[in-house]
Amino acid sequence: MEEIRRLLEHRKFRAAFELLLDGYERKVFGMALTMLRNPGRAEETTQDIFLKAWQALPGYDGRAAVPTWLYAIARNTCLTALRAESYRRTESLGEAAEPRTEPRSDAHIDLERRLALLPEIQRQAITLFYLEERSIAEVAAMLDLPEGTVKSHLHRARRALGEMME
Amino acid sequence: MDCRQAQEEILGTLDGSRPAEADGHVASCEQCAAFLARHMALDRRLTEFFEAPQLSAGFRAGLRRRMGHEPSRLWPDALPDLVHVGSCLAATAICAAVLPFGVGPVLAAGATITGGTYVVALAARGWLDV
Repeated sequence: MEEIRRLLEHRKFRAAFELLLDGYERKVFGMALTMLRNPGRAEETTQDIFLKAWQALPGYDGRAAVPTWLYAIARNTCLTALRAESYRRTESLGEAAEPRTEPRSDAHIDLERRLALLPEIQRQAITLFYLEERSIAEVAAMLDLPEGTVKSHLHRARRALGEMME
Repeated sequence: MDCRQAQEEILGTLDGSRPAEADGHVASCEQCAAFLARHMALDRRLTEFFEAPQLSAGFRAGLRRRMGHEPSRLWPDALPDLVHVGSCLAATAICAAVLPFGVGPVLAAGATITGGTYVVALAARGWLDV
């Protein structure tokens, strides 16, 4: 991250962008997948996010940490994509859901169904927590929430999922 | 420590490191032992469920293609216009100083040519964008 800042200070945008891509491509995709719940759409949106980051790099003023800055772009882009998706669904109510690319086991489907019953913010917190190797700090940065709030959402989500398993 | 407190500790410890007091309670309480077992099983299932997402092989190639069409904004959008007006003003000033037609006609011609070339440049940009 320090290396990215240093490159940006020297206006080496291309090199900084390559490091950004290497370090955050998978994380941003995980975030997009968590919010959009569709791998194809999430990948397309991840491209949109990095394209916006590329265009905005010269204007990065260093006030926020690089990941915080990138996650803010990612959140806003995903929200825009969600709004567009919701508009598209309203426009074509009869459209069938996109098929999954891989077959899923019954246990997998069962857990997926239980996760879908959680409030959206709890579902996002628990998804990102496990995708981000249990880093509360990373989840907090991605969701733009204090770490204590993320812990509280995780606590509630785990309790609810545990009760569903009883 | 009672059952409620022990279960709160189980839910609150995300890295598996519970206080000894909670472990002591769990060891002597069947209900809390079952609660812990359920949550450990849930944790294992969630770990397996959320496998690291993989981007497709063409992700970066697609991104670079799009970046080629939309380059980074290193310069302000208005820079071509500023350069155009600046160079026309400089050319008009030089012509006014060098040519034997007087300042008035040269300024009039300079303004007309600046406006005309600006319109042509705008039209050309429109054609190129298409």
